[in-house]
Amino acid sequence: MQTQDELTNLFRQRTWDRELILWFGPEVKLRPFLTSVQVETLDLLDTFDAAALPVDDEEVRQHLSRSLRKCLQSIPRTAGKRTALIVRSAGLLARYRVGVQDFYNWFCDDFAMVILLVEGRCGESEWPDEVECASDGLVEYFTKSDLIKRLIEA
Amino acid sequence: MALLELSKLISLKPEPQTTPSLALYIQKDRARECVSEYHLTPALRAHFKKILESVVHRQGQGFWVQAEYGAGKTHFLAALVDLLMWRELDLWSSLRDEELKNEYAAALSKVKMFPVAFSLRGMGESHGNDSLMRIFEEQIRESLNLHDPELATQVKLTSAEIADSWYANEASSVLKSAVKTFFQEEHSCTPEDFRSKDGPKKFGQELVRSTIPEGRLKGKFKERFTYIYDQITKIGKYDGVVFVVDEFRSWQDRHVAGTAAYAEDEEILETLAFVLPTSHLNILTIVASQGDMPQKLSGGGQGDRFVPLYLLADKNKGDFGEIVTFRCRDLLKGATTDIKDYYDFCRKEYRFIKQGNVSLDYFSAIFPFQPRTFDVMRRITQSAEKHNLPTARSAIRIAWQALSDETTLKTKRLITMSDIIRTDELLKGLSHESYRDDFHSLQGAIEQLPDLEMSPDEREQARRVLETLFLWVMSLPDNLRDGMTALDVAEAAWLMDDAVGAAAQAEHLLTKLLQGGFPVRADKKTRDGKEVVVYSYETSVAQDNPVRVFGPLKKKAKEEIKIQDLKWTESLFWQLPDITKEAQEELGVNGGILSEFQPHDQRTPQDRQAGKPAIYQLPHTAATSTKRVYKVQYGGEVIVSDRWRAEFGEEIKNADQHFRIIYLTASPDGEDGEITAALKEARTVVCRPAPLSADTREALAGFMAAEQMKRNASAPNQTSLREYAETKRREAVKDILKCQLDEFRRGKVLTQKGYGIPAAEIFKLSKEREADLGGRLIEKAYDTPLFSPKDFKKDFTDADAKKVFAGLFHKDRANSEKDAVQNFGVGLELAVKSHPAEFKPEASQALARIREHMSGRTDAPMAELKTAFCKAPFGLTESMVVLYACSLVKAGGFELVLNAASPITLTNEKPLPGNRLTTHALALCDWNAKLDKALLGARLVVSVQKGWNEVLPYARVLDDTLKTVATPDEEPQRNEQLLNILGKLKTEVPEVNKSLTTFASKLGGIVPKSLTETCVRLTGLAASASFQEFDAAVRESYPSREDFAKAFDLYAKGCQLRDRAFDLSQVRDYLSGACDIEAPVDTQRDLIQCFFEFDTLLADPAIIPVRQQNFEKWKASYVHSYRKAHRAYYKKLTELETSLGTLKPKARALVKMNTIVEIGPPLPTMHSVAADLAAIEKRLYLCPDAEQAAVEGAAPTCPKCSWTPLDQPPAAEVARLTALVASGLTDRFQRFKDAAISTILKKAAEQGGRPDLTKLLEIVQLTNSDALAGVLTDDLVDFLRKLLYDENLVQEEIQLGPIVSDVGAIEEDHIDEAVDKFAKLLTKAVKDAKAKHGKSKRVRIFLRLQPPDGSVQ
Repeated sequence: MQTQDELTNLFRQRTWDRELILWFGPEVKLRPFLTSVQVETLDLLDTFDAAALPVDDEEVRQHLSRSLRKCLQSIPRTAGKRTALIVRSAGLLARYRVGVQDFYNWFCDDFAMVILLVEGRCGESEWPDEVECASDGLVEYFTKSDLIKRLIEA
Repeated sequence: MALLELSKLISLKPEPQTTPSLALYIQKDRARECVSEYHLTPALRAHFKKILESVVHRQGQGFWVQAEYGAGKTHFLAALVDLLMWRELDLWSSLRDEELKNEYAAALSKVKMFPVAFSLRGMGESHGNDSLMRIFEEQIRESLNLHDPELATQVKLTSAEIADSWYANEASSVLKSAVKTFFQEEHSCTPEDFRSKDGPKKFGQELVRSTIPEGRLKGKFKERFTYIYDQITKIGKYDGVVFVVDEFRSWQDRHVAGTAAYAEDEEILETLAFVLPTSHLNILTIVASQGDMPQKLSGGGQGDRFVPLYLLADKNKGDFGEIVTFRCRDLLKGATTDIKDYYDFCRKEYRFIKQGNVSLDYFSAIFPFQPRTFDVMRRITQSAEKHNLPTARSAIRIAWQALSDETTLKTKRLITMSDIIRTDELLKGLSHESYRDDFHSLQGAIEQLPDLEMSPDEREQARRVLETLFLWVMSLPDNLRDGMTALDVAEAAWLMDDAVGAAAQAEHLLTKLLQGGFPVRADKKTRDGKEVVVYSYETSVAQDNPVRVFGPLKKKAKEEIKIQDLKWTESLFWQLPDITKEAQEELGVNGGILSEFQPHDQRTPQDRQAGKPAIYQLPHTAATSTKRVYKVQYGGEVIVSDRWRAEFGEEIKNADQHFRIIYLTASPDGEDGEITAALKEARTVVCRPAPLSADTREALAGFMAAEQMKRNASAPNQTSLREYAETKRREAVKDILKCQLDEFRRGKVLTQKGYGIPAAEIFKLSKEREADLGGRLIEKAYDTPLFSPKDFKKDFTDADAKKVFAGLFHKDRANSEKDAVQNFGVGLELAVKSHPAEFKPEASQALARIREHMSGRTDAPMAELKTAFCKAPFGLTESMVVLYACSLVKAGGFELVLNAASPITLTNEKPLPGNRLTTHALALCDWNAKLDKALLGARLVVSVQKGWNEVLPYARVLDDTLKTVATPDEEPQRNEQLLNILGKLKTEVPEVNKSLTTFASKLGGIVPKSLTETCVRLTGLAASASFQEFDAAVRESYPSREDFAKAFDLYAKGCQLRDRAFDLSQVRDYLSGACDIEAPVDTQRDLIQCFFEFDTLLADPAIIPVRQQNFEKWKASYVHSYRKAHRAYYKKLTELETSLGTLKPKARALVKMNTIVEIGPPLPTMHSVAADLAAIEKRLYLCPDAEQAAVEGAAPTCPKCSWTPLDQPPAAEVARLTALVASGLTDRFQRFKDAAISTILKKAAEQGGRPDLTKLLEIVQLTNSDALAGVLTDDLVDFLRKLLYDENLVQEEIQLGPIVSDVGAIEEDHIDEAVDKFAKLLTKAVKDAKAKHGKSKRVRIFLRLQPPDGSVQ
């Protein structure tokens, strides 16, 4: 896990190296870091029609990946202007094993970075006894498989 | 020479995109940009050529593109893929390389490769679910959808798709039924319903899950890729497939060598790059990675796995500057002339052009950068991990940012190091923790420059000097300390002074900086044989005195007693890598005093990195052993603990543990007496150290301080501090190792009975401390061993016990096993000195004790025996107990019942019956790991099995030659004999049963139930695997031997009958087929037939020969009678045939005459003449064996004609036909003589030309039927018929006029009526004509339009 200073330094840089960050905390705490860059927001829940989702997880994964790719390609970009894309509902990427390759392939570059938003852990007490809550499961999905470049906690 | 300002020579390109995405760059709309922005240096061109050569020649190959992070791998791949993939875009015209274009553009236009290009970045799966194969399948599917959607619908990739296709096109009806059953059971529906409901993918997945199509799913990588390749190239008409994999390093790092994922990666890449291309599949595989290719994939040569292609390799270092410059600026028109001015200027003023052998081409290619700038940039960006600056990518950014400074472009000089230091990108690197402090020091120094007395111009030059020296030092490797001469500095910083020259000016500035206390250092060095002064930037930390750093750290460590204690414990378990070579050699140790018993260290990697003391899980138990007593290897345990616990003193409960050594890592809190009192076992010893001395604590503090210092001095420029710390650490390690021995020597060795073992003796520099301690304990505890240790010729181990087992009990023994018996047999008391190689256990104390233990019992667990004898005072080991138990079995009377869950297979590959180890089985049983497993839970039992002699009475029913045995050793041989007999019986019984059933049916009987039952029982007996099994089975079926003998006797009779069945069947067939020939013979036959009944013959097979004699006698009389009757029959036929010879021509002539119907129809009775004649001729067939019919063999009637007395000669039929022909001929002659016919014939005969007609008329006249046959040919018959027919026809002419007049006018609606009327008028005309000429005539009419006179009507 990296410090917030690192995020500050990152935004001071003129260019980036295909940055993909996991921000672990509320979005409101992230926003102050983004004042010097153009900010775009993408809620993954808006990228598909829930009623039209296939039943099979594997097909959902492909469906989401296709939708995500289209969304990423359609995000407006200004040459040489740094853009940060905040991705909400990032848990869907883990739930359907979509991974993050689409962000690397279609968005991240010298002037564009992606910030996956995970706003907090699920609470232990919210679950019935028979349900075991892997509260760090989401973060582990992104970190253990080296999907992201940095994990920064609010 | 006037130089132009830079802005007049170059134009800045738009800020370059330096992090291309492969996926993006191979898009159609980005391909041209990708190719046009790619700069091919000579080295890159050579790489391209290597790959394109493979494409052009359609030779599959693997290429491993390797370079550091940011070196341009992705751009390399993307440009290559674009050129191969988008043939319709004419990308070659955008490529800025004429050589490559000329050589390959045309050739590649003929090659159509299917591209699969992807990056592995971000594709990892958590929880070890990574699968490169899955990713390849997904990416191939993606490429198909993108580049060839039509082909995509036809190509099957995944197991599910292949399974679905298999079911539709290949599955046999049998497997389809299996699939149907599977879906019915699993989903309660048909496969077709499931597929239509859940789709083909799910259907395919279910098929895979069912395992029914297993073996058809192309499961191996080679099969699967071949299958995919074939589909793509054959259906899609591609020349090959190119796989491009980017960012492989991110994948590689996640899969450690030795894991399944690593193996999968390796195998897939090897398959694609080597296995398939060598099978002539045109597959090109290009992998880009920062990492080295796995050893297995390297091969080097063309066609040999992966060919490595290194980007920006040292030997191509010129590439770096060229590429960077190319991406940042364009040269303005005419700039080359002015660049030459710059080149000439530098050549005149500086040495770097000549020294570096810089050509004008290269100078132009990197213009406006000073070449040394790229040396620094290259070095400083070479390791992204270390400097946080990715190679070419950072350099491009640095260069572009430097050129984008308008002030710089206004200058008339080359861009130098000091120009790049303030770029954002380089600042990013310099803010890294490795440089941060030094960079701050540089900034501080620059801020202090105004304090120096110098002009503003000079101050500006001094700043550039400082920045140049700083970057130079920063770019050097850690282990290299080098500086620049004043001239080097002048060139690198582009210093100028018209008055004194650049070098002198540089020297002047450097001197001022040195005198001003700036961090610049001057050293004298020898270069090219001359002593020169070199200048370098002095980093701040390098000035520290290591002693001043170490001192406070040690002082602090001395105060940290708790950490010292932890470090002490840690040091006890040091391994070889933890100590120094010096200490190893000097002290003769390979680690800490307890290094062999190191517990698990629970620290996290972060804790280790932070230098926290080890956290061991104590107490820790380990195994050890000794051979010091009785030459026997006794196992024991070692417990290492940080404190004393009462449980350590408990009794030793495991039979394989003969002693227990407890090492305490620290002096215990209580008194030694408390420990001694808690020891309940004489075989236990406790070793405790003394409380740590001041010397030990001093050494520990030194060690802690040295480690801390090393960690603190991690910056690249703190080498000297680290070296000092390492020296102190080495010294401390040696001191601590010495102290460890001292502390334990000063400690105590405690035992239950106070054996008084001196600690100083035990903790001398010995490598066998535990063996020594264990030996001392056992020697005292095992004072009454149940064997004779003095007779052991060598040390006895568990492995030796197994060899002795084989040596004593096996027939074929290896030399080592024989030797083992020689070495240990007498000592174990299983052999005697006079016969040391033979099993003679009579004197064994151990066997006597075990027998005693078993007395009054039938059963004892082996575990019980081990517990009873693997203890004081007997001193047996577990393997000895097993060996003695087996010896008891061998001696007879006992068996070892092994664990049923671990079945044993004997050396003859048969299973051990009942998993019971008996005397006989011992010879066929190996003592191996399987037997060890089977011995867990085994029991020694008194044997209840019967011997051979008891089974013999029953066995002799089968073979009365079987003999008794004198000793148990003969039983296996007898057993083998019996099994041979049973083996034959096993084959024979079903055959006999089947033959008898068939034979009985033939003879009209049935096999008695008793015999059928016997066959079933014998089949069961024949399955016995031993004589004991046979005994048990036979007694269950037959309570007494007599019952068995009686049943087997019936079976034996059945066998006899079966043996004669063929002959008897023939007899039976002959009798059944024999015809009634003569009354006495026939009576005799009926009588003999009764002799051959199945029941009679089975009851007494001995009478079969007598019965056969009776048959032969009867057969002789039958043969004689048959032949006589046969001959007589054919004699009569011969007579009839003679008489038929004269009738045949007449009959045939009559048949012909009857066809001339024009003379009148034949008599009704004549119709059958021809058929009757043919029927009689057929019946007059003469048998070739008429004289002697061949009925002496198997057939009872003539094989040629099958005659029986029921067949009689056709004499009556011949007489009837003769009469019929005579009456028929008379009738025909009469017809010819009719006046009218006769007239016609005579008239025709008179005309001549038919002499045969004349002859016929003569025959008719004479009624000479005998002569007819020669005259009445078919031709004559045809002639007569035509003649008579024509003579019977008259022609009449009818005037049409009156008829037409009668018909009158015809209205369109009354045509039918007119036609009818016309027909009636014609009919009337014919009737009139017939009336005119007579009824016997046939009439032909002609309609005339005009009357005979020609008048018009």
